[in-house]
Amino acid sequence: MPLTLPSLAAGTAITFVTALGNFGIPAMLGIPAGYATLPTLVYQKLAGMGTTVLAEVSVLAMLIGAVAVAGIALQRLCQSRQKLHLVGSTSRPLALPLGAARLPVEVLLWAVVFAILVLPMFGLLATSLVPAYGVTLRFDTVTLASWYEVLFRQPVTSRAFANSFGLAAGAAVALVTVCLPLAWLMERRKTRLARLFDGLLDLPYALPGVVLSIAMILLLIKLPFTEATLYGTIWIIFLAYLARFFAVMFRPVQASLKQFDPGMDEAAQSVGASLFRRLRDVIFPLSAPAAAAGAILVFLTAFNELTVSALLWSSGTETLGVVIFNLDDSGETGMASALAMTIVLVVIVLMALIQLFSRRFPKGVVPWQT
Amino acid sequence: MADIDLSSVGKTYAAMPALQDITTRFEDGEFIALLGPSGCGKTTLLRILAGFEEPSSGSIRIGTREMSNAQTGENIPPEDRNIGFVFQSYALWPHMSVRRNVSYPLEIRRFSKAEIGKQTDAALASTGLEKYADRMPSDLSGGQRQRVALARCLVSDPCAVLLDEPLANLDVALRATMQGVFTDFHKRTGATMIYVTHDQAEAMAMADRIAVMDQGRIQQFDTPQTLYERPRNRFVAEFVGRGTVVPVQEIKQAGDAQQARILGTEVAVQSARQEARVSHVCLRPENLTITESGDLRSKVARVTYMGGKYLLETVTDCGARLFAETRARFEVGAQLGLTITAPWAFSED
Repeated sequence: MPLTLPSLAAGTAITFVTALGNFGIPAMLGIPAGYATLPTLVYQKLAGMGTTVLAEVSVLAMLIGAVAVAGIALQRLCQSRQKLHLVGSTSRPLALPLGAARLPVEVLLWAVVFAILVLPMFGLLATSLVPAYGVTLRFDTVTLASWYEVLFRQPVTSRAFANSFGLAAGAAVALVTVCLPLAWLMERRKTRLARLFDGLLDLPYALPGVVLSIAMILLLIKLPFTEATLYGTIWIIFLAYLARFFAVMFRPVQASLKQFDPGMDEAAQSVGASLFRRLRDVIFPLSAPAAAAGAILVFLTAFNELTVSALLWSSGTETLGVVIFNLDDSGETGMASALAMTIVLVVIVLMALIQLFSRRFPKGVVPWQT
Repeated sequence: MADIDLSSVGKTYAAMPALQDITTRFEDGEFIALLGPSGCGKTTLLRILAGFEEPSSGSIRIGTREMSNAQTGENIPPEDRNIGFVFQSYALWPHMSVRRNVSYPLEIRRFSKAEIGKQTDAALASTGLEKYADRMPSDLSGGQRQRVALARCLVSDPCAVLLDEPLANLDVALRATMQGVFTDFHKRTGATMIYVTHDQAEAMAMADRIAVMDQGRIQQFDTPQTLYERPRNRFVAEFVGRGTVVPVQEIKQAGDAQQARILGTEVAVQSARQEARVSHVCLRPENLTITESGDLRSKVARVTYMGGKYLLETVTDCGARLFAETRARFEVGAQLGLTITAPWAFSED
């Protein structure tokens, strides 16, 4: 217990920050019940009155941000203390022989997995197959009407698919392009600036999405020196995604470059290769698996994203998350469930495709295989 | 091909001096070894020559070009120095085949396809790697990997080759073979080679001259034979070969010869002419003969079989530990007499 205490405290702190900033769950479940959390309050104010309440919601965002930063600071403090303990050699994994109790324990664990992962999926599927919310699912009530309506009749759905796909793919590609050279430069030249940047890098991902969204609105609502605004365009979502998922891309790339023998770069240098040639011929090919893994993670996370886009979307720039949220908000639970199920299926198909080709990829590309 | 001139080169890391006031000259085509314990600054010196580090003071000239000058802040980057570097970790590019690893320097130089093919084949042949051309580096053994690194060096025709403990990761048997490979490489190319090692046998076997380094300074820079027979100070005497340094109690000048009192016995000593006042002598096994009547009484403390002969660690009555070699076997604890002949004397503050 004394040894794991810092880890437990760090875990508690980060859970606190994540729960504090979570938008999707309280928005879906809390708003109809009249139960507000800070992020949903921000959303409701902004959705109700538009940008006139910006000053007011900024204060709320600052409040969430301050609490979250305190939580993150606590988590880092705990983790830095934990590092001191990690000097001994790793022992073999703890194994507790359960004996006769093994079967019931296993059943219990699988039941928990079933309850939190599988049951909600069945709930979604069932809801999507009945004509209206509340109708019991029987053979004579089964209908694909919701599916048909949301997938083929609502133009917003295909638009949202295109938007989400474009945003996710675009963010993944842009982040690969930025993170590879940046991570390499930071690894080779450990200046004070690089260390500061390294410390701040996780913030946009760790901070509640609401805080990031408000910051993005304030930053981009009126571009300096022009009358133009990015608010209400898809670019504000794109830029917010770049900030939010920067760490998701950067950390795996950085980790792969840290394992890199600096001799490989110096060897290329000594045979006369310029910085550009070294990046192209040695550094990039060797960190490509990590970059691909990061890109897959960014794509899958961005594809399902709701918190950031909920505050930044406007007509025409809906993301999949926003469409589901709006359908549910307007009482179209069946259609929302059908669309949600579709996304689950799309993600499963994407993951299956990646898995299928995983043998042809170099080791480390597929993020869920180590 | 080029000679290398270093003038008052120093390097400081966070106020800690790693190199101090190195002024020396490596002749064109020489095989130089930088020898010293870990942390003595030998690798730092090598990396400064390659351009991976910048000197904090002093300047470096290779051939006709000034490469680094701490005063003007001028520093030619490694990629423009045309210097070969061989790493302890081999530093092959794991995503390229052996052939591509070797041909890459030529690609950089924009040679024609035919020329690249010809030169690569020649380099692979001269390092005995033709059979492995299409393998990946991960399929090779340590010795083969280091050969690839050497072939990679060979094709770019460098004016100097720097080697950073290239054999440290190999087993003893392979080291001997690879020493032959390096010596052949040096003979064939005539390149100036600077070889960093902490293994004196390796340095002795290959180098024309050895720079013994300690605490960021070159302690002595001489041929292997001179280093062994005429060490300039206590550090070199104890680091190179097996030697015990003992103080001189009294010195008498008799014409050209010097007579010293060592461990209570009178011995004729040798020293460099400029050493007016010698203070210590270095006693190596060659300087000690075991005789029944020897006036230096000592007791055997440890016996090590060296193959064909024994190394005796003996303790004299006055407590000095001396190493002697013998073909006859002695038991631990045996009493014997030692006679000292013509030891090398030097002055040490």
